[in-house]
Amino acid sequence: MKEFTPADASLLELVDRLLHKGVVLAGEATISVAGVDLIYLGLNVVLAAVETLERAERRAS
Amino acid sequence: MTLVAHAVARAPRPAVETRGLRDRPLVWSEIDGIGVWSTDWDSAMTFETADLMEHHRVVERLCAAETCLPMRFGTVFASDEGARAALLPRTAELREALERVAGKSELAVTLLWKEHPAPARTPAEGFGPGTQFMKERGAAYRAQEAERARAAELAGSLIAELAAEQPLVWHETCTTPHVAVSLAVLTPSERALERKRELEALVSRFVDVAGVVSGPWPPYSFARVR
Amino acid sequence: MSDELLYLYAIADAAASGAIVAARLTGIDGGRVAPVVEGRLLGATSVVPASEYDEAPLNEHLQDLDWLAPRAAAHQDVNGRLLEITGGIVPLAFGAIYRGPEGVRTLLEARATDFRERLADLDGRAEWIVSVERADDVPAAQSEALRQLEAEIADAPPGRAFLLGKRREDVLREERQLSDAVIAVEALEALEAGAERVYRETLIDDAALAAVARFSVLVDRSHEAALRDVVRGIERAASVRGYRIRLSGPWPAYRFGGLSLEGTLAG
Repeated sequence: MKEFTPADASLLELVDRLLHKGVVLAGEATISVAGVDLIYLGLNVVLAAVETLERAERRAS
Repeated sequence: MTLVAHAVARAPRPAVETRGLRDRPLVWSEIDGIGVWSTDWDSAMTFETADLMEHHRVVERLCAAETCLPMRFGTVFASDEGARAALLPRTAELREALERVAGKSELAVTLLWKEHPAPARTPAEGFGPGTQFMKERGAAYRAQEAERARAAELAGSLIAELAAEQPLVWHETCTTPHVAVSLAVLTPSERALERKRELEALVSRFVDVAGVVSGPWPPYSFARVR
Repeated sequence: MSDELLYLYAIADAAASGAIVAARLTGIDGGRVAPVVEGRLLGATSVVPASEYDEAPLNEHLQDLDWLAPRAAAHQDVNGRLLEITGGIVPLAFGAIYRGPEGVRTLLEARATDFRERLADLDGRAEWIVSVERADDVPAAQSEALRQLEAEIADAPPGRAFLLGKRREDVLREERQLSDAVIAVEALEALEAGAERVYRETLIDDAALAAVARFSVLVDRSHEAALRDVVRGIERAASVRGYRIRLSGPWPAYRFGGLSLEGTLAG
């Protein structure tokens, strides 16, 4: 299992806010892509983002 | 036409130069003294990874110009009409929430356990597998309880330090094996960077957790309306 | 102007006057509790210094918890003893002050009918407080949704686990609010079936307090064993869901018979 770094935490805290917090109004549609719930779209986005970040770190080191 | 919502603000339409996602125009939908900023989106387009962070940057720019409540990413309206209809029943709560966050930004404090060893296997020689299993279970339970207690203590000391911001703080503990405390605080925007440095100094004093202070961000965690 | 004021604790039937004198109760700041009789009613009073209890110094003291706490306790001690001695009182809230016995008599006379009715309603009854609190060690009994989330978290890589963990907190919070509301309604229904009167107190909005509901309950002194049974029944149902119940009493009827500070410093 890959380790969890402080740099990930910052990104994940932000993504959590974008996906889970903020104003929700009744009666609106929530985007889903090909039937995949937005939460999962979001999670895939995040995981992609974390991996990108790790690749960048590896290149830097 | 589809509208991808970004943030709620007070009417009249605030003056902003900002553009929406993928450099598309922003639309202002207003009713009863409240309005929402959205990107004029083509419903044939699908979202990509970059749109999530772009939404954040749009919200940041809108909130810098005027007191705003960020919308949750992924909120879409079929039309300007639809946006106004969604706002209408909530205008009083939205106004109240706007007042709560006026002039303030959000900081996030995350405390991560520095070491998270697997529960130690106590060699229980001379015991049968059943007893051994129970002993291990007991040890794991005690370790978990100790961790929870320590997380609560850490959260308590952070919250004590944030006396000035109370009650604009909320926190969670032990959400996952890595996270001891995750805390959000609403702080005056003009002092946010200074406050961030103070909090960084504070969390660096903890020995068993690594502290990460993020933001300042728009007040995402404090935008919820009931 | 006199440098002494009269502190009024409670109103009772004038017939209890002799018993109150005989009990030689010590009131706030050491004053002897004495009845002021008017018609068929009495006010239980003691002398307090004007330097502390006149309007201006009293209002200042009320902000000072170190000053207030022992005196509020003395106020309650007196009312607790008066309840035992008389069998029924109309208790006053802390801080009802009169310039002298004339003021108390005027009050007793002006509201004689009201007080007599209140005393009749409270006769032989006492107030109890039932609070429903979250136990510190909420058991891990969880909904299917939460169990699924936890299983997912256990299998997820760190990034996904982080976000799912936060979602679990949201779900937990919502489920807890729902469960708080359910237990409060159940407790209310059980108490209403077993008590004469029930009042659901408003809670101070403080996350540090574990109380999810608090009830004032009026019961006949002869039915106290039945009340304890009802509370035990609530407790049995509540404890498996992570709540505990606290019962305290018997109290003078501050909620059901009590008077507010009206009339303070009158006369």
